[in-house]
Amino acid sequence: MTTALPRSAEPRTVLAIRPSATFVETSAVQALAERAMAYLQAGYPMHFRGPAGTGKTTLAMHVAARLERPVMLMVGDEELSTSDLVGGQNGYRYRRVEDRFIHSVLKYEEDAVQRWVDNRLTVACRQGFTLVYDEFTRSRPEANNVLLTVLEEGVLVLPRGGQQESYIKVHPEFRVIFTSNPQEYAGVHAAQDALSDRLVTIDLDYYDRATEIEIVATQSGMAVEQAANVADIVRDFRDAQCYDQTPTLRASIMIARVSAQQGYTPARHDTRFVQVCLDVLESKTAASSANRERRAQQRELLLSIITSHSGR
Amino acid sequence: MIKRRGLRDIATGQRAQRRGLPQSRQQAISDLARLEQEKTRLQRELEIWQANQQRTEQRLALVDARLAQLQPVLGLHAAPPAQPAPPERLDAAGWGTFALEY
Repeated sequence: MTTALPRSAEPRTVLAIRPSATFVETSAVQALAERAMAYLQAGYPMHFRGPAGTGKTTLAMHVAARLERPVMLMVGDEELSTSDLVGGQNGYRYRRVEDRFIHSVLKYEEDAVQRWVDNRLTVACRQGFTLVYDEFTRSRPEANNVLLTVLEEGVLVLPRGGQQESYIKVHPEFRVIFTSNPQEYAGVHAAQDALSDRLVTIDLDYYDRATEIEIVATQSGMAVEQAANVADIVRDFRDAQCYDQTPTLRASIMIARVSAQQGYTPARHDTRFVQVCLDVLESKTAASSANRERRAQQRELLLSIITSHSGR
Repeated sequence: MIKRRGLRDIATGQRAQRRGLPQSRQQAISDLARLEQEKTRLQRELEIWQANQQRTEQRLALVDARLAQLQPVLGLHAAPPAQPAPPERLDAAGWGTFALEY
């Protein structure tokens, strides 16, 4: 008799990613995607690096979709360890055999062996899937060491033990796309040189005005002229450097989407629109008593920017 | 010294399957004979397995029929036949997929 095993804990689901109806592929996005595809097709791992709100993850997804392979997504985390990437011993396989070949002799055999479960990196290496490793610098560098031989020698080295194999030849169609934010200071680690040296890194910055306006308009459903007002307000505020957290394209989309849904006019005379701008953008400066004067100045600046772009 | 050939020099059925193509006609005939014998043995084994399977299925049907007769007598209800599990939605060569739009 063999006991029924629980359903395998291996990741049996892959992502089928595709662009949403609101995804905008401007010439800038297309150029970046084509650059990345050239490196990936040559077998190199890609790394999109840039501050928050520059579209790293979306671009990584877009490029992964263009590879037309199943995708596995991992998100870097302080708690991530090597076994979270490659897999580990997870539970036991218990086996009991009752042998009654001779009716008068009852023979029992029992044994329990540890059960190995592949994790996402191992599955992707075996099957030739695309691995998107988002914010990989949030994982401790030692957790990512296993990637070194995968990316250079094309071999995944597994911890020896039990019955599983010790080495896996990486599938020729396996590709990795990394993203990271070098400006983030909370909960991130520096990437080790050995790993960075194996990656082709493209630095992303905030998109040009035309691209931002198109993205804001598409994502919010706002008219292009009104979306331009919103994008310009956020871009000018970003250029003013009067904040603790950089206002990004997400802030523009937030303001535009709420305004479009609620029917606010993106103009100084519509106090509801002004309030949305203040809600979204004022929070970019830390709220503390010491900052009171600075926040007052920031509010004045914001109002003047809103007036200059939408006071007409 | 002349090497005496014995039983150890005759290829077994397993060996005849695994090694490369024989170089001499003598070896080829020996392997052919071995493999034909092995094929006959496996065919016979398969026939026995199939006969056993049929016999077991017939006996199982008889037991089921008898159980169906006895259960009403004891006031028991026969367990409903197990429904096959619905097939898992699989894609990407046997993998479940999760659609993600970006």
